[in-house]
Amino acid sequence: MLKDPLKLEKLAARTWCRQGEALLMRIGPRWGHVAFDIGGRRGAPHEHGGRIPLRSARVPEWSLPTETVATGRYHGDEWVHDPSIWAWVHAPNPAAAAVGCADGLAAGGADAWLVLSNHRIAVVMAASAAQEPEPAAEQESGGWLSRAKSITKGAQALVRSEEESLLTLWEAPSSVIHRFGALPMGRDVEPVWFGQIAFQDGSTLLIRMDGKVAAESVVPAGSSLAPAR
Amino acid sequence: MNSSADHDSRLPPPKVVCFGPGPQSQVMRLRPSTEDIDVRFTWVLTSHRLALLAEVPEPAAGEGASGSFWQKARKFGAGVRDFSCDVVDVLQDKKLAAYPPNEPIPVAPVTTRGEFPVQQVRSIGRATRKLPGSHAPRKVFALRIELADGSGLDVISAAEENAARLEAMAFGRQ
Repeated sequence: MLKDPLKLEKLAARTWCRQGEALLMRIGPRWGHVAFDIGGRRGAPHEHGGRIPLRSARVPEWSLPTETVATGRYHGDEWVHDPSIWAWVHAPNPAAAAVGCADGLAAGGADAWLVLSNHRIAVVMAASAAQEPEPAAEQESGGWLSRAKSITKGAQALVRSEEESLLTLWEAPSSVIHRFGALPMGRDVEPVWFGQIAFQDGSTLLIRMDGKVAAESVVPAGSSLAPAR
Repeated sequence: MNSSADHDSRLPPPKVVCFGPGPQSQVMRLRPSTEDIDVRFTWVLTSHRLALLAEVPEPAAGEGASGSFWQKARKFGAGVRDFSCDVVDVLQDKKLAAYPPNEPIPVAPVTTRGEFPVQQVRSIGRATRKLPGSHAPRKVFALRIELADGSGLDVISAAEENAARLEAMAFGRQ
């Protein structure tokens, strides 16, 4: 099980990063669920609905979200106070980049790492942690499904390989990112700090952080992205 | 004064300070007393009212199957109250081992100890307060909620930015 950030960094540098690509940030693996507000539909946990062909072989022994958050019957940012929620995706529609990212996190479960390089934002996991992927069903191509099939083909080889490597569950060029932020949230006197990744398409991913300093540490990552936009 | 923080016996700031022109004023009458030492209270401000909620106490042991629910609910209350510790545990992957897997995290039931309609709230704004020397820090920041009869409460934080955030929340800007 890949839990050590330093091992993740070494593995990424050796097997995942391309020429001239460097890892800027890694978050994971986290305990709990991603909550969602997609096109006005709210709830938790977010599920990838088959859009990601791979998933972690482990079924984590996690508590489920509170019924209030699971059914979306909360006001504003009250979901922050559900301790089972570590991330929140807000998107105008299911095709938005933040939803793809949340799909990857849901598929990777207890093995998912959210990584940012100067070229890409991605969700990865150790190949050894993946469930042997099923051959992709023949379906009409286009969008997520055709992409899913190509990921599956590569993954089948990687999962069976002897050498450890990283599987990409979802990725997008860093040009999809609009900006990074640090947000104090919640209804309590002491804020709960979240790191924010805002995408160009108007979608957002919020990630629970271990305090103000940790949340603010994600902000400078924006200035390190390759100017490929 | 002892120079070592490890041996500092001063108390942290209280979460809330109630005040009023007399013991029979509205907020002073409602405030928790020493008899309530085991009860968890939460002051809540909504668009309609200022209320004091009390967590429903756990039934005595041996009341059958409901006991496990109550215990779980109580744990959730503890989790919310001490949330900063929970977050640290998240990162250490020890998070919420106390909650049973594959079941929704229970929410502690509460009752309303008392409430005031928002029409009785005279003012809401930021204030500073100097605490007695038994507390550290002594100078703290507050969101002050005052009722028409001059009683009210200061929601205390050692950080000015937290008081500012509370004020923004109170006026729907956060």
